[in-house]
Amino acid sequence: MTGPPPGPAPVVTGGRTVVSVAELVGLAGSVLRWQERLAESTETVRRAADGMAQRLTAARSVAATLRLVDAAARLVALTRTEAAATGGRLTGLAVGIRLAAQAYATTEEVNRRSWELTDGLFGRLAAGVARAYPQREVRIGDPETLPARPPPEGLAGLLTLLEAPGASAGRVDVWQLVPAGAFHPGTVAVALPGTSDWAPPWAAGDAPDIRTLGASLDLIGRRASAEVAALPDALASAGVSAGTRLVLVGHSLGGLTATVAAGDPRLRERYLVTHVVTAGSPVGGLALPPGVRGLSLEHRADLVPMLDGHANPGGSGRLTIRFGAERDGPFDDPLARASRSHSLAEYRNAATWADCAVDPDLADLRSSLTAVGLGSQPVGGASLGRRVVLELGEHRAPAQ
Amino acid sequence: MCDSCLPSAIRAHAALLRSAGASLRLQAHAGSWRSPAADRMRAEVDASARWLEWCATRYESAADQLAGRLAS
Repeated sequence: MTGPPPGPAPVVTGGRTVVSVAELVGLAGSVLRWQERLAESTETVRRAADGMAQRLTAARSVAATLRLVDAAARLVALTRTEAAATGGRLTGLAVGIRLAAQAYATTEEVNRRSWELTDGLFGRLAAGVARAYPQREVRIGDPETLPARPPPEGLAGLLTLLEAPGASAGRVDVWQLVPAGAFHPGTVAVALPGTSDWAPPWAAGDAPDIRTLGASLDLIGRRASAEVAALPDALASAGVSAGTRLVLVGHSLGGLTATVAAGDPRLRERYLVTHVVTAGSPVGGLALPPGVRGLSLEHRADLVPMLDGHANPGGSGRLTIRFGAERDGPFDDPLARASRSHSLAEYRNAATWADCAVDPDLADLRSSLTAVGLGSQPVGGASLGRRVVLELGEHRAPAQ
Repeated sequence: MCDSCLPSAIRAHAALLRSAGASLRLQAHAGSWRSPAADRMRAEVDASARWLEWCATRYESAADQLAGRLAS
């Protein structure tokens, strides 16, 4: 069992975290209907008991009858107390639920409006800067075989794939999982590393690096990057057969690429993306297609996931874990902190926590990963890796 | 309502109280919302359901007592 990462407790959001105002209003209505029905039923019992007590009292009968009078009187007292308390309690409950529904409706409206405002602003800004980068052809290198390794275990294992040795800037590592006893390769995990060239548009030279700041801005601005466009051919070049299940995992820009690629029509035409796992990626403005499960890990002190300007959307199947401390201490260096918190090592620690955290949404996500051979328990077998390197080539005319 | 029918009427009322508690509890927990506020609301519903069950128990006890006295 692994403890939580340092700092405040991680918070899991998204998944089934959908507040349905209609459901709340419906519940409040049910409470009121039950209150009415119970009040009516209590009144029937009270009248019957009261009637019996009066009849028995009028009869001035023997001692046994007097005991009945006493029982009836106690019953009448019970109905009065119960009716008042139940009525008050249920009315209060219904009012509380209605107020909660109203508050949620207001919050949803505020969220929706702020989303529209920030989304438009950040999207336009990012896309504008991205256009200033020169447009270049993409070269897909010959695939090379990586040393086989055990299948990755859980989320932490997936993030470990991003740390493959012999790092080259434009690498796309493709791991085919071959479970023990299986005759055919199963799911393919695709590891997409982060930005390696942070040059601004005016300093962008002829370097072959495909993972540029411009590519990040392209994706934040919801324009497909050169890497997203080249990914289907890169996977085919690495020997991934059509129809294969893909789990895309990316750090920083790699997470952006993974999220946009999951919705890319060319990739979806050829492959079945089941999961997208992002670590320290600004994916708040990007949607995942239906049926694709998503997990985003975000360190609270990491500035990169904040670049999109708003929180990640929730919705079915999409989770975000925010973890770590915003500050290490009163005198810490903010830049050093931001840099440290963006490191893959920090994200792998959080993933290790997520692999065993008690949370229904996370448990659900883990089950779905287990179903594609990426559970946190060892399954035996092997992962067969192929690496394809993407590079920028000749300049081409900018898109109109 | 005849006197001998009263214990049955009381038990029917107790059953209705239990049904109300169970129904509201079910509806509150079947909802897809998960948030601190929603959890607090569920806790309130649970508390009300427990109250309704407690009332039902008292009515059942009253019905038993009355039935016993009517029989003696």
